[in-house]
Amino acid sequence: MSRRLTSNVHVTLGARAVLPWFVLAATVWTGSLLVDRVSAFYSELVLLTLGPLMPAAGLGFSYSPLLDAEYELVVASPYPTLRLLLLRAVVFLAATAAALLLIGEGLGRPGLGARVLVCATAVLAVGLAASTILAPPLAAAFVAAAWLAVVMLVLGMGELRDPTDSTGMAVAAATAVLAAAVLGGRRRVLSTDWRYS
Amino acid sequence: MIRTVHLSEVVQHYGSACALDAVSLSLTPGVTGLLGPNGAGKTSLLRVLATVQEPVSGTVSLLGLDASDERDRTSIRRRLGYVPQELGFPRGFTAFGFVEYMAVLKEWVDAERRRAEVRRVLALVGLGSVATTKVTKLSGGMRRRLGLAQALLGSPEMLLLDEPTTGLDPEQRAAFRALLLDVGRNATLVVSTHQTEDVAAVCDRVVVLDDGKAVFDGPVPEFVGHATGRVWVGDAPDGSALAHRRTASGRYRHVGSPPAGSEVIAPDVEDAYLLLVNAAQEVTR
Repeated sequence: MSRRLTSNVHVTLGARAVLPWFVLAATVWTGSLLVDRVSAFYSELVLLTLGPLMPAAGLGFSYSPLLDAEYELVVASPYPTLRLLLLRAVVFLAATAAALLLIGEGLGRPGLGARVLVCATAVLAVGLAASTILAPPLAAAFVAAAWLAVVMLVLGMGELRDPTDSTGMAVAAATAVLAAAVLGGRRRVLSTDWRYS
Repeated sequence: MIRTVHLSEVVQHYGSACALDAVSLSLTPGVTGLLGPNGAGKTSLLRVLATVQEPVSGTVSLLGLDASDERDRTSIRRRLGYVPQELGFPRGFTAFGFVEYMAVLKEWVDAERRRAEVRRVLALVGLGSVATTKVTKLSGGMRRRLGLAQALLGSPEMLLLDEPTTGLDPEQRAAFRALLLDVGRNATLVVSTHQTEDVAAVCDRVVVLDDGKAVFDGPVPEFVGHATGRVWVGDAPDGSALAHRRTASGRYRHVGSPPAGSEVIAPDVEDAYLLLVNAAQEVTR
């Protein structure tokens, strides 16, 4: 049973991607909790800026030739690319969701975790859609850069200081839906997985 | 004889470096050795054959299917076994667990049949007794055989091995060659190697790559035949030779144009390889 479970976990996540992702995610989560002791504003800023990147980062790591020891064997296997990509995305999103909800509770702002989760879903969805053009690690890097640019832009607008206000949530949800539609429309392209090499 | 591999004008680049320069090949079932200096394009060619890497241009037909077509490529992967040059193993896995993980990726859905197949391939490579041993505890030779075990899942029709005998001791190498000979009876087996002894021991055919080009493609006897009359021995290195090597007897074996009165001997695969590669480099210079 445990052997079967281990095999499935590896299929889902990519063998060596979990540890670096966990270190990165734990740094962001604990960082936001620690910063909260000094400043609630900067704690939220850390969480809002970096939290939404976590699922996409996990996906990028899990397809990295540097982190996945069996990367070439995975690519050369007949395992469906779309299924593997979505499995990995769901697992990293679920792990992020659990962490965000706990952190929201820990900070005494339960709604914050949920709002960051909506952004994380949107960022991940855009990352998945971008994976129909770029290899997942590049798609994750692209989407991270795009998200950071959006945050800088929104914060720079002054009166709209919170990128997760109701307008931000609506935009994030719409973006997620649009990206999912792009992914669905381009799923056949996605299974042309030579580019992962 | 059925052509199982057909490559036409395949080109592969890494940035400005050309890894494969219009390589055309046709292979049939049996064992083909892939020889060439470091950076000649052997690994790139195997990666293209393994459908891991798409060529910049050219056509790749494997097992009668078009590798550029998505559905065909999945079908090819179902009938393919591959051992890359750098095969990493996940931490914490036993030999059995690792091969079972690969079996999951190869769509062995039924758990009972999958485990039976894993046991079969482990026994085939002589690792049945260490199935429950952690991969980290296995010797280098055992890990090589473990890599081969995962490639043998489902008895693939095409098997691609990138330097499979590297790091094996002579006894392990002999056992490994016997295994390759056995597997090569029913499959198209392509073995990239630096060991010319591997080619002599197991290959029906040899392809020599140099600077991304296939400079020879033919049966092993024909390859060796090209060096007939071009190999001589002497008690000291001969500066006029294209290449020389010291033998176990302490004498020197030379390839090139033998000087008058020299003791010409029958060539082997290594002589033919040294002659071909050094002659090509001589022309380039």
